Amino acid sequence: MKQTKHIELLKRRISKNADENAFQSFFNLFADCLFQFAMTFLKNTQLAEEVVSDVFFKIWINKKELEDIDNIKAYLYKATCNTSLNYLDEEKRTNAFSLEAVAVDLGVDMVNPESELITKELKKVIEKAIDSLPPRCKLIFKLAKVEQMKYREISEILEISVKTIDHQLTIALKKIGIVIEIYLTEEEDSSYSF
Amino acid sequence: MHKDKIWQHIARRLAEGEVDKDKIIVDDWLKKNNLNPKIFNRLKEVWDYNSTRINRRPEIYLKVQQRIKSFQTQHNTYTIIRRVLRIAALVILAAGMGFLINQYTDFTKHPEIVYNEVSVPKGNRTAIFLPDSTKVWISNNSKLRYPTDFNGESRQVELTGEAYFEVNHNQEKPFIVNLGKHRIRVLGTKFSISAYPEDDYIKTSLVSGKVQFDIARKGAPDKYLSYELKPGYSLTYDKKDVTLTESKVNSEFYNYWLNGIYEFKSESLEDLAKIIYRIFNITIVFEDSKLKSKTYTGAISIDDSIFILMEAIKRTAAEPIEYRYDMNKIYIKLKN
Repeated sequence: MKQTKHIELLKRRISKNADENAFQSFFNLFADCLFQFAMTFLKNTQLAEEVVSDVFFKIWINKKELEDIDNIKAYLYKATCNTSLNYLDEEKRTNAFSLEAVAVDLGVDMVNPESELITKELKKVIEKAIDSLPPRCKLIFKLAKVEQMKYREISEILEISVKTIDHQLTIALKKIGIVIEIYLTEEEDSSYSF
Repeated sequence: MHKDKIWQHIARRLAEGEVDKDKIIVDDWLKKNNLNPKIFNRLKEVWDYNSTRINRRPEIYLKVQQRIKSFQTQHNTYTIIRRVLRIAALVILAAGMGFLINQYTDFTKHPEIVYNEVSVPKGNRTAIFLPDSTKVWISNNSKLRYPTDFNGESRQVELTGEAYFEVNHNQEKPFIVNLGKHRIRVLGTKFSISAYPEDDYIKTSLVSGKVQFDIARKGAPDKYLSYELKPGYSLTYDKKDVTLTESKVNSEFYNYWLNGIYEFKSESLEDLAKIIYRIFNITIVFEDSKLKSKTYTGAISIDDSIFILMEAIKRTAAEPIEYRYDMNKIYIKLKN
């Protein structure tokens, strides 16, 4: 709640007073997440930087309208998603408008490499399971897990129903859950055989 | 419970937080055996773990600042031009509501008829009523000539450029739009014509009613090959190849005429440059002729700044391009 108020205040300062300091704080709040998000589609640091700078450039140019944007977080992610798709080269772009066709790269570690609970072997299995999820499912999983978004927020960004997100996340968790289950059962079996 | 259902509740519990119903169901499942808590703990650990983010903020912020700076320099120049244009427009406005009307008599042909000529400058658009209450929207850089009274057997007007007509129905007096040699005959209808002399084509699009496209026969003046147009279709006459193609009127058509938004699909930059010239009165100079054939899909609003469009073109280009503005010209080339 406090965060939201802070963002609202920044938005007003940018919108009404063209306050550059407020703009920089606003940028700092979102830039890392948006960069990471752009990387999901582009897998190229330079392009992802271009995309994020483009999104913020437009925010500044159209700052008068900034105050009227209600859900700024969803707006920024959506803008980043659209701009990223625009940056994909022509051939990829033509079939990219359905998210199904874009290769989604998670880009970040999904499993803590120093975990005591998860062995190196299990880590590999889990990562493989996540990687084999269909693109849209993977993207939803990433938004929920890495960006810590609620179903409603994801639904606004990707313009798909909350029901679909519920379904897709179920598929993702089931897949990961089952590989863990199989791994643990096999581990148990092998330890009994001694 | 269905076997898959548990994953739905686990997903909701992890992503949406502690919702009562999901918590109870998951808790029940956890108590079932020794394995379930082990699975859940591992899942939760995967879910909760977030690696540190890569920090590219300084680099990106620098880029934002550079772009804002270069935009503002361009924009300032543009505002000055706009101001000059506005003053020019005011002068025109004083002369005749944003377009120029010339009244004259064509003594050689019909000394008794007085003609009005409406010319709309580049970067402008206007709507007028003809003496028979027909409404015409005239596009930028276009000219319409019509008599002050439709006394003859037909209503004849002459168009150079582009216009959209809503012709008042009159069975006795067909409405004829003359396009140099060719013409379009109408009863009562809504349709548009694009016939800029510098273009290789003449295009007419019919919304409703009936029109007939008369193409002048070679070497036989006042003899025509006539083609009738179906509502919802366009006919494009290629002046070079002397071919006629029929196509469906797309939804963009209405957007263009009603809202001043021009949408384009896979249009080459060379063709786009012609449109930019008409709308913004800015010439695009290609410093790399390779760029001419690059195609773009998008939309321009006639109220937009040219730089917004240029930024969009720059942003979507597969190969990086750069442009500079100087004296009503935009020079574009591939970035080295």
